[in-house]
Amino acid sequence: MTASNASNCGNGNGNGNRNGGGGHAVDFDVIVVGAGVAGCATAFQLADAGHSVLLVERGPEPGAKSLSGGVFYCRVMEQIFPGFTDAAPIERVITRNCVSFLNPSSFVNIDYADDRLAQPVNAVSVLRSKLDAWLSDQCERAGAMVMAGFRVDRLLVEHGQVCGIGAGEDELRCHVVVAADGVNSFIARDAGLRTKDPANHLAVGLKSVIGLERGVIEDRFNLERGQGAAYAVVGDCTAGVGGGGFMYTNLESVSIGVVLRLDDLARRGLKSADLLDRFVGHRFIAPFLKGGEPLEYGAHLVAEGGQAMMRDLVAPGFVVVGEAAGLALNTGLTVRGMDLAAGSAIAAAETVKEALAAGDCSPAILSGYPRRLAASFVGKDMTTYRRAPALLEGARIFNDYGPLLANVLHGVYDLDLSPRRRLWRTARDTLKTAPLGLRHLAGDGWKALRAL
Amino acid sequence: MKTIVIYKWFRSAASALVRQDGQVDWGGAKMAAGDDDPAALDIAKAVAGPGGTVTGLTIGDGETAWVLARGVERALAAPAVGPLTDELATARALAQAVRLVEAADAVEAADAVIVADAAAHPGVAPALAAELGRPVVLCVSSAAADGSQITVRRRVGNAVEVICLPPPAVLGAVAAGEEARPPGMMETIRARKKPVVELPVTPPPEALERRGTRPPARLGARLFGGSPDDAASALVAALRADGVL
Amino acid sequence: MTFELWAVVTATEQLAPLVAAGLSGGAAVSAVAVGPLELAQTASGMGVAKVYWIETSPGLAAEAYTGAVGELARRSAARAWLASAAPGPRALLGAAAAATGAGLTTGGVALRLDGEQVVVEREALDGAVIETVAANGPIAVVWGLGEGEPAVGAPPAEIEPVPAASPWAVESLSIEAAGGGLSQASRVVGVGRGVRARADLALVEELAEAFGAEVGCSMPLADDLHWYAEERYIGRSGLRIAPAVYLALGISGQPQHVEGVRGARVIAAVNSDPEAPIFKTATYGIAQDLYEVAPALVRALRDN
Repeated sequence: MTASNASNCGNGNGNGNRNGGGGHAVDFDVIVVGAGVAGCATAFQLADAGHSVLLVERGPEPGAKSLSGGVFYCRVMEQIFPGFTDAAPIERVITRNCVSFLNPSSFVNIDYADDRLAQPVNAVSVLRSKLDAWLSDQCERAGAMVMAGFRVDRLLVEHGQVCGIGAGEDELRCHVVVAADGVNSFIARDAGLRTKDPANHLAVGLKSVIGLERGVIEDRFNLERGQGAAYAVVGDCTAGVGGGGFMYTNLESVSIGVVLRLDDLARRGLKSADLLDRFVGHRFIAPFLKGGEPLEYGAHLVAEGGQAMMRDLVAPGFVVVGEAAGLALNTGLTVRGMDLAAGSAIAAAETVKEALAAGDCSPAILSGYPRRLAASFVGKDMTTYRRAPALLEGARIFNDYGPLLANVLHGVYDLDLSPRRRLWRTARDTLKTAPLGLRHLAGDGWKALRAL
Repeated sequence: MKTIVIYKWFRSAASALVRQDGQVDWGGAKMAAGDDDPAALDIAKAVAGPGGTVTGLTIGDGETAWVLARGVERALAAPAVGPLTDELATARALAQAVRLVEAADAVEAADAVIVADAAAHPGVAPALAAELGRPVVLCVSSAAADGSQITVRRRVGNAVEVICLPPPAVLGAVAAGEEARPPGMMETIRARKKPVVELPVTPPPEALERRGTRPPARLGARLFGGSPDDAASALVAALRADGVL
Repeated sequence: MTFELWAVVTATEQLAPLVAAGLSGGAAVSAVAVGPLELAQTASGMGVAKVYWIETSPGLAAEAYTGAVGELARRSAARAWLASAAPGPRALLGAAAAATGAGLTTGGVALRLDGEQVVVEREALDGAVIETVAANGPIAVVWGLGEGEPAVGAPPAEIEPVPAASPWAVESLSIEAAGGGLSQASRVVGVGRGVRARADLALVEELAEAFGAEVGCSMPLADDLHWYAEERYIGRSGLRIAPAVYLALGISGQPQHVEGVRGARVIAAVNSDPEAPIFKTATYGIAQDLYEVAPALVRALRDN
């Protein structure tokens, strides 16, 4: 490898792409760590623009370590891969969304189906093992070198500038390192960009994939062929632990899981796997899954802090994208990560291209990335939903609203020969006996309106 | 001695997605290194000996970097041959490739051709030997050459057998353990940057027609639950009832 | 409508499953016996139409006769060729396939004639699917494991000696038994990565003693961790065992390992992961922590 007194990566001499970011000899223009959606999307755009790109993945193959915790709101992918929904391996187009309040003995659903969600395709369910393999294949076709099965264990830093990565005995130099290694990105921490996350910003996502026949899924979830449903579930699915449940349909399986706040889980001394089992076996959920075969099971740390989790996104010669940058949103109605990852990849790739062209990978140019990100849908949504985590942390939404709604509806449908009253009156009477006062309801409503 | 090692010549069953109805979706799965490929390479190196040469050979989209990163100087690919159902057709494609390598080297035959004796495609190694008209030993876990003989060791059933045979020969290799030292990232990158030399092998016709796949009748274990003591007692009772205890 | 099927064998235990598969598929079965006269004689009494006998010379491995089998195949009208997965007969099957241009496949579990085609059902992808393949011409199949009862009281078939002019000089220099008592044991406890520390093997040994079993292991415990001698690992490239009962403790059930225990009459598995593939192979299972189950099993066995 080159001499240890290599010049600061920022002393750019700007002689073309190969050496565009600095004076030191490099093995690649850019090294991207992590071949998930964020890493692949960044690597693809840079390779496609003619830069030499190394994409390193620690799993034996791309996608091996990824677990999709939700549905992919994939409209943004069209900007990176035109024709994405036709070419990529997607499972189903989500055209039905349900918000479910699950109680021990009742189940209230807001069921929203809309043909407009299929034209153009807005959300799809994906299997990450297939999607990530496809994405990394696109990177390879664009000229990136994809290396799976290698673990990056350190960053090379000289004069305060990141200038490469280390893996075992090997060191590889580059102008820019892109950290796309997921929520507990240790290389972002290595670069001094992230400290250990507070536990109430972290949640654990557990997912089980249950195999069912194609037609059975379409019948049980009331779907047309090839279309899918996504459920966001609150209430009894987490036994009172902060978080929620989700369930969505793949082509021949149903993904079902819970997202649980780590601090709450620890405080109550509950085991996350037990809560998932409880949810899967819940009397209102079990019929969806009856006779299914468990295919896979996985756990994944999820950043759940909304904008509070977003950190410094650049250092000299270094940018952070996707979940490693804290880009995840749980609004209560949608659990998002992959779309934000792709959005950050666009902003990062544009900026890195600019830096390489200018031969300057200092924060002066790289700071264009957080600027672009803030101006994009990613930054705007993170700001819009910045109060959502606090709202979801409040215990009421998990414990009280479900029974309240059920009681109101019970008052409407339980025709016990007593004279019917107007709905609002039923609701008011129900509220009187509920642990929630009108004041709480108004307060939460206001919070929810502002947060969502 | 001169040896040829054939690696990455089939896809891993692990990369196939089996649908509920038994349909198999290979996605974009590539030719992968099987469990026995590192053993095949070790045997090829051992038989070649210090002054010998090892040539690597792969088919389809098998990556030559795999063998180049493992100390082999020369690697060739036959990209036109994809995954085939008929193992004889696979063997015939491999035989064509071997002959092209030998013709390029102006030798009548490489002293040994070593190929994974893969559990998923156990007919290929013997059919390759027959196509080449050379003797074969299968299930070989280690080998050495001395003068005019190749001596191999294999484990069959519950016996360890030592066999010798004259070159040129074909050996089917079986791994006795995991790869001792996989190459590092730099070695792999350097290997990837080497040009790929392609052999003009044409895929032979297949004599098998595929009529489709279906899920197997799943038997699965009868699981005993309850407390560990309940489960243990139930298992012991079941084994007694079966007359095996 | 029948068709000719030739089963290539090098040892008597290979005969019954192949002959049974052929007969139940409606074939007229002949045996190609490569070995001593006793092998040909045993084959002749198993309900086959004819036995082609290639006598082997002492000191030569069965693989020496690939050329002879290829010659014989060239003058055969067989539509199907079967052999077991053992290396000797498999080498000979490859020769027959190459000589006749037979479509060659593996993992066969059933076959039949369908019109002009021979149709074979085979296990593929480590048993994840059953694939149906068909051939217009001859087909050669490495047969999967199966049991077969030989036809009882069948008249002995004609044995035709086939000269093997010039066998390859594939010489068997030595054969040594490996695995000690393990290979013959009627009860075996197998231990895998589910055991976390070497010291915990005491737990396994205690169970094996109560069970009256020998102890074997999966590949990593011998190859990687060196907790057991190499002779004790069970699997495709290790020991193959056929005990009355095999108890798998903390073994996930990789195909490599499972192939070594297929001969077991009953397999019981203890693994904390209910989705471990071993439960697909096992007859009985306990999906709990082996650290709790093993002592419980010791208690259950001692209580009688």
